[in-house]
Amino acid sequence: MIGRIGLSRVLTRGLSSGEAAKLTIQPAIERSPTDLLNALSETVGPDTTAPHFAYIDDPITIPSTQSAKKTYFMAKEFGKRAARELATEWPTLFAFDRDQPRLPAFRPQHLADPFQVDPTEKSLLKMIKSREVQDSCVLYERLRSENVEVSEKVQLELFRLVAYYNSSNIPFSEWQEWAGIRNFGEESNGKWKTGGVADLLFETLQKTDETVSIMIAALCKFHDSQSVERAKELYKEHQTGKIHLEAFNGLIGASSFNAAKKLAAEMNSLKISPNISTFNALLFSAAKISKYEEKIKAFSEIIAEIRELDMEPALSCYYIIVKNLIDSKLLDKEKRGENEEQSYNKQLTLAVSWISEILNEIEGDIVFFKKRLKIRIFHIKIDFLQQNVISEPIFRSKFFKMYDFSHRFCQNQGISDENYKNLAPVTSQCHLFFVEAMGVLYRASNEKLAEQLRNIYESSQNSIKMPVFTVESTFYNRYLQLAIEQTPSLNRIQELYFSMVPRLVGVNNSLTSLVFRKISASSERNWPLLRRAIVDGITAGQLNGVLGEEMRKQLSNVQLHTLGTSEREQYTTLVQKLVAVWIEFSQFTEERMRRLQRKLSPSQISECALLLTRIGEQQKAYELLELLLDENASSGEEATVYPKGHARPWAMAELFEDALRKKDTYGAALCLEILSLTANRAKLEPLVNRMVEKCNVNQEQARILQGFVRLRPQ
Amino acid sequence: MLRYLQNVETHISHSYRQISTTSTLHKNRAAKTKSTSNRTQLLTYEMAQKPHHIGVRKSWLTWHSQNLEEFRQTQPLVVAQDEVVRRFIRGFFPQNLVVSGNEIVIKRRGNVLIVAGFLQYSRRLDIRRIYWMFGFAEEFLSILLKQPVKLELAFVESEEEVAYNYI
Amino acid sequence: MHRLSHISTRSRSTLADKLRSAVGGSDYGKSKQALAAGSIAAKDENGEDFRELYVMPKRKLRGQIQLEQNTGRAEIKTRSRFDLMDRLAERPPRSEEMDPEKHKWSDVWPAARTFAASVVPLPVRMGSRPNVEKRAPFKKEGNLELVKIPNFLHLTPVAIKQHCDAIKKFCTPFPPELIATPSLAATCLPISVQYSTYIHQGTNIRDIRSRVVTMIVDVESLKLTENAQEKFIRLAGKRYNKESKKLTIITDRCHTRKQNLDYAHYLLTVLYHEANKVEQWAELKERSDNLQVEFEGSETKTKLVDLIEKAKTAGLKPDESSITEFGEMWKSYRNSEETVDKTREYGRQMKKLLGISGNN
Repeated sequence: MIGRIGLSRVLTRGLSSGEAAKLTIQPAIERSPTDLLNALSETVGPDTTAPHFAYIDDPITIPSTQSAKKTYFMAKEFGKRAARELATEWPTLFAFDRDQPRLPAFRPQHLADPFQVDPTEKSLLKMIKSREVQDSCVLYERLRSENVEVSEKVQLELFRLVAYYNSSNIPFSEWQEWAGIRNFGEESNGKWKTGGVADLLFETLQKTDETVSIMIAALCKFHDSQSVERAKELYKEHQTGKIHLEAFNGLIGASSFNAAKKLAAEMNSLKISPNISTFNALLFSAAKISKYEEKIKAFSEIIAEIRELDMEPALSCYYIIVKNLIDSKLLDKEKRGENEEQSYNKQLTLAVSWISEILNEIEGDIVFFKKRLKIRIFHIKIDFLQQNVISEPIFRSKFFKMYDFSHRFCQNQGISDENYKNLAPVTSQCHLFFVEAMGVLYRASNEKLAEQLRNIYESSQNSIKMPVFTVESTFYNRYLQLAIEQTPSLNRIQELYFSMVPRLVGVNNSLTSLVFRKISASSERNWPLLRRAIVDGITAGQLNGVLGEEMRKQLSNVQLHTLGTSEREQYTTLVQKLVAVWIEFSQFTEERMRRLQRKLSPSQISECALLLTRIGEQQKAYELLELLLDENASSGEEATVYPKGHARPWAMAELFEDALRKKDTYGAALCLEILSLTANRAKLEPLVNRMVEKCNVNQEQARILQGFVRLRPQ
Repeated sequence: MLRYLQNVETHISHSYRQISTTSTLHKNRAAKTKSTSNRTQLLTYEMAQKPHHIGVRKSWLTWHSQNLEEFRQTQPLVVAQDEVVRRFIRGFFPQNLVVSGNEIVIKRRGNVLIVAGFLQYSRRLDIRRIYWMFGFAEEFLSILLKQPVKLELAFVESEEEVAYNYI
Repeated sequence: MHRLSHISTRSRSTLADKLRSAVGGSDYGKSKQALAAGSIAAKDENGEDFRELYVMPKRKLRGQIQLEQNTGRAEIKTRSRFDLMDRLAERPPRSEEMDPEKHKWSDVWPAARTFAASVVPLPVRMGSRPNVEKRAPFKKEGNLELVKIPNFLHLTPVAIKQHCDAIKKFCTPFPPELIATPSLAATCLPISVQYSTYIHQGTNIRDIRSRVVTMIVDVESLKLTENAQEKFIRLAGKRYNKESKKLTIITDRCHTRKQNLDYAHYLLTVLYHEANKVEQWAELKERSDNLQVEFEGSETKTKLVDLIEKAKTAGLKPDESSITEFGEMWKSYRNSEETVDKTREYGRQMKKLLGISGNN
């Protein structure tokens, strides 16, 4: 923040007193080294047309789908790693040493090899500090085998490290060097490694409070049934001492709710004050309750306790709640039965009301302080009543009366004019709240709350951010689909779609089909949106599936006369490109490229021909149609046409009409012949008559036509 | 025996280097491309302008301040760095170059070295490979020159896009 | 190019072709004849296949193909490209979607960047052509000239204004007194310190010139007595500028700028105190030690006074009051470089003094 060193002073200069003229020079405003840069960066907002800054900003390299985003990013990251490995391996080839000051960032080094390093405590401590778990274990083993004295302190340090990381290297999410891969690594905590260095150290060290707590906490973090049993045993054995908070948190998280409550009571009796992790653990164990009503009750109890203790529930608490508000069995739509449907709806409504309260709470946090105060008082009132009705509070802490509480609350926090408070992450799972909440809101089709949630996420006070390429895109995907479903106006859909795809949301099948549905259902005409949806479909490789058909249908529904000139040009190029691509796909007839081939189906051909006619490429349309009549095209090695299926009748009819209008005999004949593949004589006869009327057919030709029709089956 | 040695000597004395001073070979051929009979030689804008147009019709390919009088701290070093970067890019993106990699622009902004220019989709375009190569090239050059190097190469569909004229 | 020409339009027996032939095309007879002629695969009387005599292979010979290529009549069979999926991933250029209403340019181009044709929505062209009327300069996409030049798209007037507004809160107002009367700087701020910082393109941030400190002091403001001032000037030597009455100290003898600055201040202090000290031997100063030749006490003055007396007795009308003026002129004449004007002025003054009229 800016500060002023005192008020503006009047300065006198001059080495002698007397006629000293006065200049008002104000003292400089204090600023940190980065203040100017921060101020400048605040003038720049996000560019909604650009891809993420990690990508090369060129039309060919901008990723359109989620998988493309992931692969491109990882590819770049791996390229960098390869270069770095080379540089670490051959440092003498990169020895350009003219940089002042020396830049170690450009001089990557191998990690210290535990077998080569000096076998002293100092090197062990260094390894522990840089969190090289496995290397430090190896070094420790080596020290022991060489009978070097390792002091208690160092052993304790090593024990802490090894217990926290389960004797294996730090997980992906904690890597410092390759920040990109952090997003994509696996997240799960494995099972406890028995017989590892951690167990060894636990045996050798004295059993103090600290070591036992560490062991219990570690056993619960990497839990499977055995390790939890062992933790509980350790806990029971160590009743004489005072176990630390983290151990309690671990035990609470690993046990059932009733056991957890007992543990919490014991914690209280030992006068250990809980922190947010404790409540997270409690919520986690409450989430294991199978009966729905009890689960909700437990949740409300825990939240009330948090508020009573003057603490803010962190977003991770809300995350655990929201994740478990709906029974996981009821989530899958197909597997729901009748009454299950009802209970699902009930649960959904309850979930939505919870979420709206939570959102108001969070928003109140980051908007005006006084408003927040009112809401909190309101909530405390409710919880107060709830608690009196339901059960006694878990923690027998002091129970304030409402106005007393609010008074103390004000005193503790200090009412000030400073109205804005930052939302900061408390645990590593806070950001997942956004995704889960958006998921629930999507199921409930509640757009208003989704909008509110999005605003909270994007506000400048929020510093909890989801990892960009994985979690955030799910968040925005759900939001976008929800918003598009609920909006009737195509303009708004266009706005949302253009600003979010593909920057935040990758193109996916459900999204595109949703957009097409909306376009069909709406009575407005919006060419830019349709064009963008089709272009996105092309770049995302959706051409060859169901969506390809949908594209053709949408394009044929476009009324060309309503488009402007540039739009018509765009339409023309788009159709040409699509048809060319489809034909190219059908022509992968060589052996090794066979798996890429997508043969043209007759309906596809007819629709494409129709589109070509619309843009005026008659010749090409007819050439395309001739493929339908060509036997070589649909059979054999060089086949490019799918043998099964029929041309679309409405497309052929329109083509026929068009040929007649242009008085093109041969074109009309072509259409007729194709129609004859599926239609019977009755339908064909009127067409032939019309042909004979409109086009200038001579006798011979008329005779051929009549003969042709007569040969058709009835 | 002696005669053999004498023969050897005459051979040696005949194989010395000579400078040709005839006027027909005296021409300056730098940056002048010969025209073909059926106009297949592609000329980019760079290639089409003769060298005496540098600074008039065509701009420089490297931009740095070490040629100015007061800034002449590391002038030869910069020239060497440029050459290293150009050779690396030319060799590393063999399929993707336009005009054999002669037209790569190097800019320096503060400590950062920026390589700009055009690459074409090769006959087998693979975008993941392109990203891998970009990551590798950037990191490699940065570690080599001890300053951040950024590639701002743009993509062009084929060499015809950069053709100014066909001779 | 979306060519469908590989789909051959050989005439086969579709309806359209029948109609075509009914009009009376030249191919009509041929097809019938071809059918009637029978196939080469007819068998001879023994039931064996007809053994063709091998004269020429059934494919096109190399020479033929080359001829066709050179004359441009070769049938190029387009093969589907293996990298089709990657090529399809090409998106339309971003500039198409940019709307000045909805987007701010400073968001799109916040910092210096080489020109990217797909991002800049302006239809620019750059390059010279022999005849501009016939062919327009080179287009935006693929134009290396646009890439080479430094562009200032990140410094539009709007962006500059935004930046200024953002930084304004760190600025304090300039002293208004100085704006009103700039000459106050001379009196209120007599010491000015100058030093330079150098930024380099490269990995080395050191520059040896950045330790040089120049300090310019206005000597009048030191308020020295006359003797002290004279001593000051003698001590300062070449560093003192007589016209502007400023002392310039340039130091680079220490390693760092701070040290040099302290040294400059130290020099100033020492000079000041030394100037104020009066040594015993300073009393031995004579007229010949003066820095400038003074008129008072010079032989010229005594001689001039005599001359005036003599002139009075000779009947001329000397102007005694102008002797001070003469004295100043004489001092400036003696102490500075002799020029033609000065000499003329001397003469004029002399004449005026002695009361001689201008003509003679």
